Amino acid sequence: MYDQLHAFATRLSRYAAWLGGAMMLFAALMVSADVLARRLFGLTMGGSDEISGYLFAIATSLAFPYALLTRSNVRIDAAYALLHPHVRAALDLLAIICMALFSALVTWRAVLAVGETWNSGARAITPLQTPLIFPQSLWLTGWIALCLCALLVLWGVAAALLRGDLRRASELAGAMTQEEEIAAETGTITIAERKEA
Amino acid sequence: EITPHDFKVIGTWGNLESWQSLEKPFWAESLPEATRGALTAEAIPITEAGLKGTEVMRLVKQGVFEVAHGLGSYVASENPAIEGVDLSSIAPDFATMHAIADAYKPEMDRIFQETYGARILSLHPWPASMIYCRGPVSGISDLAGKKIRVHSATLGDFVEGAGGVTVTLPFAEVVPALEKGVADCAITDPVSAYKASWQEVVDYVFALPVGYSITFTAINNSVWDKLDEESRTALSDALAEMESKGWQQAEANQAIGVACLTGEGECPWGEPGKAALTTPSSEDEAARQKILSEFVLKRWGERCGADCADTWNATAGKAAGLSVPKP
Amino acid sequence: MLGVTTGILFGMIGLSVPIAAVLGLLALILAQIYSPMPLYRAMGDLFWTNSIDFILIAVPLFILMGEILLRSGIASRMYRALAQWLSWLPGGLMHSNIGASTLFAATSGSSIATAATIGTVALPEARRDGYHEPLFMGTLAAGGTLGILIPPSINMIIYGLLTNSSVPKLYLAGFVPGLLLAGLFGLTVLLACLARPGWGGREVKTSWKGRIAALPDLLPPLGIFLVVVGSIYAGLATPTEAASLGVVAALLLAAGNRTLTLAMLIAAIEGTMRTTAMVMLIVLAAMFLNFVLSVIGLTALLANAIEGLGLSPMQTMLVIVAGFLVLGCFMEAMSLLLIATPLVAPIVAGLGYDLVWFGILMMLLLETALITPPIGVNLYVIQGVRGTGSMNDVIRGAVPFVIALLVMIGLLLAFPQIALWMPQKFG
Ligand code: NA
Ligand code: NA
Repeated sequence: MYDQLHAFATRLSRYAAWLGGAMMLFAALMVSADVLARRLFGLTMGGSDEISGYLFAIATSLAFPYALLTRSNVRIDAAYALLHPHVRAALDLLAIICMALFSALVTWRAVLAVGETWNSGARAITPLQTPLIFPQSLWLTGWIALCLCALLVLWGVAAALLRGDLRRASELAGAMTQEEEIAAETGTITIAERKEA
Repeated sequence: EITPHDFKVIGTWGNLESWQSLEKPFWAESLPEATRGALTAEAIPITEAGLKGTEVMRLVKQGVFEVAHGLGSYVASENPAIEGVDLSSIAPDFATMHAIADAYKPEMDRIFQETYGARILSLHPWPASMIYCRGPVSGISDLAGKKIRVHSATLGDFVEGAGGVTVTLPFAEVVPALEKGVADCAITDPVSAYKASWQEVVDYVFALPVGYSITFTAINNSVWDKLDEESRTALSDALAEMESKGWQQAEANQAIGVACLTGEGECPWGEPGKAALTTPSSEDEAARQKILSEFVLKRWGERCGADCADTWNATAGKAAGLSVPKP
Repeated sequence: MLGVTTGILFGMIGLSVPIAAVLGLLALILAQIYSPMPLYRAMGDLFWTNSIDFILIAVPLFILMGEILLRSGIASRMYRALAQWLSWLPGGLMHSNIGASTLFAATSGSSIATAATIGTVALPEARRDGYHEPLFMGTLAAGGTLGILIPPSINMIIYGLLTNSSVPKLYLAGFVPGLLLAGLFGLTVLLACLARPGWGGREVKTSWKGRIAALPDLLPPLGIFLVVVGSIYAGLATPTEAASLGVVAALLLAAGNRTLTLAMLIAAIEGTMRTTAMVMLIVLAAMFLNFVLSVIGLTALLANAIEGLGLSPMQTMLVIVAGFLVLGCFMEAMSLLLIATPLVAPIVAGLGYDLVWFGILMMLLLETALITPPIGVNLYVIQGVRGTGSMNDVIRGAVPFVIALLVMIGLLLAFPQIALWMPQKFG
């Protein structure tokens, strides 16, 4: 049951990351169009910088769960790599507890901040006067999802450790080995290059 | 006997005049001296804390800081009525601006109480914001079609009213942007302009006062309520002194800043620039009135609402001889 | 206060807690211990205002641009073209490695992306042509570091944001040191291969005909460079806008190359968002930590402590450089930049140094950090692309280039004009 839930969350987080990426791509096109229109026709849509700021915030927070579930958060593993698997499992548990705690604290304050925006009907002080509740609540969604995913991983790791299943715990929350890290950075590239060559 | 208190204060930009010559010396020297060391402060500017300036009043409301100095136009997110104290181009000179600020202060206090649970203790200006351009500008009509860097909604309304195009850029990018033509003109006060070396890239200073960067000092209500009567008096008196110094200094510094940018007059701060100075003409006065009623006041009235506009007309508007048009 | 801070920081880092959580939790712990005010309440607003910062948008845009160039095969063609031109020198393809890194650095804002791209394209050649493998991999790890020194540069953008210095000026300041360092790297290879002729591998057959025919493959990276860096100085765009134009240009090139497919785009986007999320979580936490450190007065305390040592400005600078070299062995470059800049920049400015110049010095120190063991990300990247053999080979091969970097740092300290000449002349 847990494994299916984890796989489902990972798949969902990947789609969220795609959506975030599409938003960045859109932001790049919008800003480029603004630059060209300004140069060629002296026109400006006005506020493309502001809108792309919101898109950036939302896109980034939507991708947080994906980074967590693919174990991409940077950990310094100089000592870690040399340690006994039992100690490593304990450190993995500590790592996910810290991530869960950190994301929960940020999310708690972010919920209150967005609530304040809702209550006061805050608008941006820019010429666009954007009602801030729209971008902020989408941004908050990503943080809440990050929290839930951190709890999901914590649950899985704790359960695996109780069973004595170190391998599964490491799959869920272990620091990426160098090989895995490079595969994630360049895996598809290598394939593309080989096709090319 | 005053009960000692160490205020936690967030100030404005550490590299600018308001912090350096008013806020910082106030907390470091004036207040401790006036109270024989009973009232002290830990004060840092937003630049040191890594803040943008838009969030300071939310932080005061939450009790992260006890006192904040900030720009009205920066904290107007939660309530557009705050912009009312510093709408673009409402005052042609310091005397008028001072009268407007005094008339609107009770309303500002009411808004801050309601919005942030904080009390306004003082309002002081910066030297008037002006327009600096690379190409010649002999009046408001020359601003049409120009790309002008602004930093607030009300300045944006003014620029659009003048037929210009607004550009938003970080302060640090203004010089390269002007030099390369990303922007044709930019708006700030002459002291900041000189200290950021804008004179090296602009050729024209158009001394039209488009805003006064009215800066508030606000204190969290619960902190104020806990202060004893003597502390409140001492704090209010010392701030009143800072406020009046602020008004005099802004006017004096404005003249020096313009002299430093243009080389017309003494520049005690360094090598003067060579920008040409344009002062507003009577045609510009007519254009200003038109932009005010058709853009600046009209648009602000729309985002602020009818009650807000009525209050403004009865206070600040009366002092300025202006009124927000009925929608 | 300083002891507690560094104790918690390195304790948690040593326990391999994720860096973002280390910074965020450290900030909260320090706030609880040292401030009477509820600083944690500021988190919501601060995380939001920093999340929408227009300057930071350049980070995902540069990553995306690099991913597109890489996955569209443009990078490998560029490498083969440079090999035609540079491989006659003693050291052969190793000069192409540095040349290709330099050229790719002029389109990419990241050192890791530069090393990964050129490494992926170049490594298969090392075995085929009988090069001294450690040195060959050293050229790739070291050449990759040029990515953050030669504009555009994500690290310079973040440094500019943290110190309020102009990014276009930083870019201008990076040109001469970047090319000089590439030259020093080339010289290192030349000297090594003159001393040990066996290291240089079998000669690569090239011809003038081949060289001329390969020239068009150098145009795409030059085009991207013109769009991304040229548009800033032509007055078309701000640095963030330039990054957007770069993404569009990369898409057009990929389309022209007939490699722009939905699958390729999704792969590029996935990689981009994974890296962006990872970097931004650290950036946001670091900015909150910076806020707490300022409010509790640690920043001022550190500045006073260094002033209290009574050292001359140059002596202080040497202490700072030594500190960074040591920290750089153990810390990943981006984390180092984010943690150390807010602490050190006010001190440096107080000593009368130019913050643009210091930005370039900082980039060189980060480059060194990228190739010094035990935590040298570029070493990992190259070892990862290589896939076999011992990590020690890569570390050994990088040593001569660490020395070249130290020489470059010495030159920059002795002659600040190396960095400042361009921004003063053209900025
Ligand atoms: Na670069
Ligand atoms: Na290192």
